[in-house]
Amino acid sequence: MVQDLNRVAKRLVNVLDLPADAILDLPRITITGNLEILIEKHKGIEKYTTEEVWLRMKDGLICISGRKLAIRMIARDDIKLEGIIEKIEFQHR
Amino acid sequence: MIAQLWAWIKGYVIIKIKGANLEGVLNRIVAQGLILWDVQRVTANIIIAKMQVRSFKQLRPLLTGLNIQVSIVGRAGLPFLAAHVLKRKALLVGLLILCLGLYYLSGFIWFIEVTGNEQVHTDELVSAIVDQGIIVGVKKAALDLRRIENHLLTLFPQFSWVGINIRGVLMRIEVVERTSPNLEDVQYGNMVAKRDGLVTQILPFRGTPQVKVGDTVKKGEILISGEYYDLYGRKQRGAAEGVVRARVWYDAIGEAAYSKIVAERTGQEHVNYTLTIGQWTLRIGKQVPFAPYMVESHPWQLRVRSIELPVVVTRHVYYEVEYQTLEISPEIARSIAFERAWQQLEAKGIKREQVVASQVEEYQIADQDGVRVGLIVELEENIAEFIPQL
Repeated sequence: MVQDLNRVAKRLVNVLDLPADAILDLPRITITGNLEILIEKHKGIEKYTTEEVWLRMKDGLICISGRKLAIRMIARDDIKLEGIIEKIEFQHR
Repeated sequence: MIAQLWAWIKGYVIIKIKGANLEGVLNRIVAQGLILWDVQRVTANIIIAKMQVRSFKQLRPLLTGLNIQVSIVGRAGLPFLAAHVLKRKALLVGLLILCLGLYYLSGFIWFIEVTGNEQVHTDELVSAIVDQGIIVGVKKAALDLRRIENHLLTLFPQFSWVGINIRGVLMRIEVVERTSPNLEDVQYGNMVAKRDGLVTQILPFRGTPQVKVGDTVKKGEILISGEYYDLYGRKQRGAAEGVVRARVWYDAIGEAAYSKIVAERTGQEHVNYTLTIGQWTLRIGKQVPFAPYMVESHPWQLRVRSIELPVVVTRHVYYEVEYQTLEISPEIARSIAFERAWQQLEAKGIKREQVVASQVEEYQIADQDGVRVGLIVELEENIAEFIPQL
């Protein structure tokens, strides 16, 4: 049922050209070079070290790996990381 | 940037969180709507972060029973700084005095700028301004700018406008000068002889010549009159213009003596020093053992940066001299006298190449110890000068 709804929502996004992040509750990710990454609508931190940061998202995880990673700012919905970003990975559940 | 500034204004604390599963703790904190920044993982079980003072108060109930230790390691921001500064009364008083001092000093003029004057010399204008009490360091409130402007306008008829304005501690005085009308166009006047001479050439541009070539004229005589008759025979009065060249004579007298007294060094030398402190002078070394002498002094002043201290050490070198009388032959004396006469003429602005003819007369000076040379030179120059008549 939920999956059906999701499929309809995705369809709607495609057909009507709506902003996907608003409708589908997906994170919006802004990357500035390899120095800074801002993730809006994250669902919490899974793991945080200076080499790897795992963040929860709607259905899966994002892994940001690099060096000297630090959390510049963290609020309920937004998180901003700083450091030298080398890789961004998505894992779907 | 703005967020950081805001955080600083409201004040924030730097906290250390120690325990296991710190990610879970972070999630719990942010889920409550609190914000953390500059989160750094120090070790596997220690995180350092910054948060607002107000948020920190909500933190403790959130973490009870989790076996997590939270401690404050630093405080920053305006509230903490203010509390710190308020404790230091002397600093506050100093700041207050500084502000009051600045405010007080800004009530005076510290810079004066004068622009726009070309005909009137700056020194002249400045001294007039100083007479009005405008000097560096004058109090702004004591000045009536409009009155000073009017005063300057009446003092210098060349000015058509004077504007004084004050910007902070800078006073700007701007003047605008009248562009003077060409006097020769509107006036009536004659060309008059500057000096005595024998007229050789007349070139009248406007007006009626009153002399002919070959006339001798005296200083002040009218050469070209401003009255003339135009094409229709009407009498006109205008400004005379033209060139009147004439032979003129200049004379000068030069003198030279047949002997000269010179001081010659004998080779004897003596050196001593003096130390001057303020008004007080002390000689170091022996008095000069001979006379007559010539002395060369080399002062050396003690100074710190550019401030001269009142301590001077002077080295004096004395040279013994003998006075001798040198004979100068009459020919050389004559040429020296001649040269001196020429120098007098040159001081009047006469160049040697302008001279058409010259005449030299020689007189013996009464006591037979020198020669006097009279030099008369003849040259041709424009002697006409415009004299306006009102």
